Amino acid sequence: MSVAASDHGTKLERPVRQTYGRILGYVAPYRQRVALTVMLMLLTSAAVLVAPALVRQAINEGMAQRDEAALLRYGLLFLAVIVGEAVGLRLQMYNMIWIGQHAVMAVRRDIFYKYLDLNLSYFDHNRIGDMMARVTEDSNALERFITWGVINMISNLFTLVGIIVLMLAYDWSLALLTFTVLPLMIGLTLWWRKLSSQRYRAVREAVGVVSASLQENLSGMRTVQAFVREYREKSRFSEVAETELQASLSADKLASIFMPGIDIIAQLGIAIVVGVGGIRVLNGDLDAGTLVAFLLYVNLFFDPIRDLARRLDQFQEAAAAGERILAVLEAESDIQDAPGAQPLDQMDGAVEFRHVDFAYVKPRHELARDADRAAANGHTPAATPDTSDGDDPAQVLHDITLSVRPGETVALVGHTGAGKSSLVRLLGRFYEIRSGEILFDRRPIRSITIASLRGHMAWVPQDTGLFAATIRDNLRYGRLDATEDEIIAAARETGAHDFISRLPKGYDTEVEEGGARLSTGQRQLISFTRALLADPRIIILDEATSAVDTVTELQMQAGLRKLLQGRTAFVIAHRLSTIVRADQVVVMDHGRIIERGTHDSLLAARGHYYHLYTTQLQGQIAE
Amino acid sequence: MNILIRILRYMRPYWRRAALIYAVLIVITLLTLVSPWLIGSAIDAALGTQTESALYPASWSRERVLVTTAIVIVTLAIVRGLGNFAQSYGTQWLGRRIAYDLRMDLFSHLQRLPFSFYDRTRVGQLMSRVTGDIDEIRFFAGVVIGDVLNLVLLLTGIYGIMFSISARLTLIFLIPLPVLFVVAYLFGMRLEPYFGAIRTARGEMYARIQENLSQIVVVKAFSREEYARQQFQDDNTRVLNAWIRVAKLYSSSLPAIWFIVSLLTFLLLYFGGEWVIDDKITLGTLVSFNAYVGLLSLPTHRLAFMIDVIARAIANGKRIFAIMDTTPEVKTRLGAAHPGEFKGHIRFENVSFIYSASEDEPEVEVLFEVSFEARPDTVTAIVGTTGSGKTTLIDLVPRFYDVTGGAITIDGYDVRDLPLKLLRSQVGFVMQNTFLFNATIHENIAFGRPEATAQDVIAAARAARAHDFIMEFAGGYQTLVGERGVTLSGGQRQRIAIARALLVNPRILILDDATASVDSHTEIEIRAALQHLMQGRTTLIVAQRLSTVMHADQILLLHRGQVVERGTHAELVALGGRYAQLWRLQTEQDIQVEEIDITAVLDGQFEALEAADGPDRQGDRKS
Repeated sequence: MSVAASDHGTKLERPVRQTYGRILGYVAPYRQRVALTVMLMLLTSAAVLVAPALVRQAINEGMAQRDEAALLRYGLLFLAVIVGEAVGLRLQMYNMIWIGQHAVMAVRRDIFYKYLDLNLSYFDHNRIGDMMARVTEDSNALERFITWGVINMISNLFTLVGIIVLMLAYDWSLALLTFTVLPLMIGLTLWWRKLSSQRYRAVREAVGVVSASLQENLSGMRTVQAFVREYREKSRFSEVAETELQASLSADKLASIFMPGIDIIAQLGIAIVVGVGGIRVLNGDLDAGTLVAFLLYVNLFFDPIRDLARRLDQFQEAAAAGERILAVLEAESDIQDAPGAQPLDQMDGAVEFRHVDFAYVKPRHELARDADRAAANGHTPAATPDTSDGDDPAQVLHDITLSVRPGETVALVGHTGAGKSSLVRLLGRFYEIRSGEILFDRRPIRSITIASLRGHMAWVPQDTGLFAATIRDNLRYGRLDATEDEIIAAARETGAHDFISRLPKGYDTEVEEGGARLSTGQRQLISFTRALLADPRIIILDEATSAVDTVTELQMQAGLRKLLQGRTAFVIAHRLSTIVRADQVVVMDHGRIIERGTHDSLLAARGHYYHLYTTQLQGQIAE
Repeated sequence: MNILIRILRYMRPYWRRAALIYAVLIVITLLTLVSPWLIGSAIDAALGTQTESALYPASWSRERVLVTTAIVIVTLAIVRGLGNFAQSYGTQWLGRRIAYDLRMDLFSHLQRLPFSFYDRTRVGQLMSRVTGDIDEIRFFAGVVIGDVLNLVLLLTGIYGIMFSISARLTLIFLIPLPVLFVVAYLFGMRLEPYFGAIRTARGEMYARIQENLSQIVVVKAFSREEYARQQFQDDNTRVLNAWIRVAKLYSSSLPAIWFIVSLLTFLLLYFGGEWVIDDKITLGTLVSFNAYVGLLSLPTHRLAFMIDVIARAIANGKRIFAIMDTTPEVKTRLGAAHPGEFKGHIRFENVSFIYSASEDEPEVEVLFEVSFEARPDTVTAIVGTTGSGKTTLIDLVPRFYDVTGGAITIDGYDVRDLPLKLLRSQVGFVMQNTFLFNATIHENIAFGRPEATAQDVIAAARAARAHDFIMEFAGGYQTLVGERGVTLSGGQRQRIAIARALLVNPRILILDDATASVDSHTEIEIRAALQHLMQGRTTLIVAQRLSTVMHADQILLLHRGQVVERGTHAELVALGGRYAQLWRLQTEQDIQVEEIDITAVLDGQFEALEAADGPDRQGDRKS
């Protein structure tokens, strides 16, 4: 298999046998069923082999000897064999799909669970589309491999060997003569496989171009029509469609050569049997039954060969997909509870940062890959990440020291990329700090279990992070056991209840993915209510930037005040009203805290905040 | 059936070739019927039995007969191989040509369908019509028609030959056939719904994974990994169950179909063997019959899939033709006027627009008896609440929709009496959401005038204040934008859209202003570009900013599809209505004119008003 894998140009990074081993490990829980299926498979293959032999006996002992009893005997035996074959096939087929689907279900589960456990830095370095492909296409490739690939491979080999052995046993010289067509068949198959994989690749590319231009045309239809471009679009599309047509036809042509080609070779084999075998029957050194059996076996020959050729692709595909999946499953999730970490049952909400430095660290395997790439390009491999230098470009936060008393609100202000989001993410220990210390109620963050730490916090992200579920389900996301009354009470407090109850379906309204049907202000209110319902000690809030109308704005302010009451809060602030009310305003720039104080004291200082205020904040309608 | 005939009508341009291809297919199928007969007589010759039909001169020795038969088999195989290549490629070719033509027809038709169609249809749906659905029709129109022809011919041919030899044998052989057809039919008809169920379940599971991956911060922040795991496992199990259903379907149908074919062999062996013993038929005849049964096995295995393809072709054809039968309600009228270049005098006379009902949305009255006049070289600003019909109003001018009452005239011509192409080529449009194509910046700007020179494009870009940022890209005007190219900011996209409209040099300019999401510096740039763009044209602008509105020649304030205030800035301020209130925000609260989002403020005002009126009048109107 490793030879086959490498001739395709896909360089695999781990031994193929190991990949297959790991993939097949997913079948292990069902090993009894697998054993049963393999047995059934051997049985059905044997039935395929035995049938012509029975025909042979029926002819030789029944018809040639004019023995009706023998004819009846072999006839009934034949019937028994085909009934057995049908029953066996039925069970075999069901079990194959059953095993394949159960195994791939476990694969999907493992990948998804792994994703949930991985650090945020994994998500920073991998696109969601690629991550999805592991659960979709790659898993499906494994399923095909497990369901059809492995078992059919065995069954085909078994059948092929069986035919060869039986033919040799019946008459070795005629068998050897017939086998002379085998190299032709294998040669044709290999030639075809090589060429067709090239042509089908061209087809796939052309199809991709067609759907891309189609997608573009349809999405931009309003612009197309507004600028009277319909005619040009037609000729543009007909060009790409024509290219796809030609590529497909060239692949079709190849496919049309293959089947008739195999047929010609098979007929050549039959001609040999008829010519040579027939003359030998005539001379009396071959019986008629064997001749007929040979004819039947030659016909059985080429199915397994063709099938084996197809399986080779499946095996390669599975090796590549398996490797990608294993890479996910083996990715490290280094943020775990430290040994001896204790849950924090009660939290007052005092938070302290002491000289915290933080840098986004690439996962180890990516560093290795980068080094490989650099080496391949002839550069000297990059040195290990430099930890001594404060000017490391990956470093996001420098020497952050901050002390927050329980119940205080901290407003973080600064330009995009100043490090505000990174700072608040450290609170939930989504990343590991490089140096310094973060303390909650005077306990170091690493001495607290992650679940209990996050359990005391609620997050209101900027895009509000709503799910495609009902409003009710979204609200109780932070506390799944919340009762209806509690939900409504919380919604009343934030002011979300008014607009929710005005919706035709109320709390049962489906929120589309990303909260598409609701206005920005409404989404924020839902997000506030969700956080309030979780009743956390610490609130982390990334304020929405976009403008909302005055009424909603006032509602949001009221909701926010309610939410922040009596809790420690970190707010990435965009709204002047929030900043004015904050106990501490922290101005950040390039990962450092450059100013701190209250709104008034900072204005009076006439520094960075003053500048920010006059250019960006002053004009807001808020207040 | 009508659908199938309509599909087959696409064969008409190729009928000569189609006739030739199917003629070859028929000849090949008939030739296939010869081989078993040859083999049978060869066996008889080898055994020395008297043959029913003398294939070769009686004087020939048996050896000569056998060798000749072998040679004939190979020759026939080669002829058949060539023919098979021709018909296999030919049917593929035919299917692809038909699919190509059908696809181009559908594509062309889509270019003519009005905006209202696209409002209701998702791009993804249309994509699968033009790609996947047509692809399945292709399979039907080429290959499957050939398959059906092949199966019918084989069946009649084989049973015909059988009947000529033994009517009784034929009768016995007819018994399993109806069962075969019934099983294949039931199986084939279930395939699509069963696989449809898998697709649906999978789609839901994938959506769930995608959502959790993109909201990973929320999931982790609320420690909802376990909840996500549970939900996912439910989806995962649903996919599994859908597959198990397929496994049951497969395992109960396919082995049964194969069994019936094997049963034919048994019947032959048992009854035929008897007759061989009784010398009613020769052993050769029996062997050739056996070979005939072998010929049947492949097409009968495919029977179920043929039924599936035909069922899909009907379903897909229905969907596709439904689109093609949607007549574009907006089209050039016969005997349309040709006034040449417009002066640009627009008049709305009691214009009403009702958005007609569709599946899940009721009829919506968007505009009600709107009348106004826009003289050449003036600017008309339209302001209003969300959903007041502003965007619809301007969409009516280039006939993206047709009025449902009243009339719109340009220079005295009803827009419905003007050729669409003429009308739209003189109306420049800058839409709210700028759509850019995956092409170079040059191509995007020249979208409405592809023959424009580089100088023209640069001049337009300069006027739109886009030249400077374009030149900052390494590729300049040849820079690719969109998915495969650079990502442009909202402000940059808008300036490209303005340049695009400028290049067409339209008499009438329609702007849907969406500067809410850009920073103030960019906004000033865009505003300057717009000023330039509006010079010397009739302009209708849906405005968001007071600064735009103030200098307009007339202002229309829309609410619920009606003009509630109209006049110049000075007149409206004097009137003391809603607009005057807006203006007071600026003067009394010292908010700069650029900072006021008119729509948002108006929404707030009207909402407050209605809250006071009572909640009975809910206006959820589409703009």
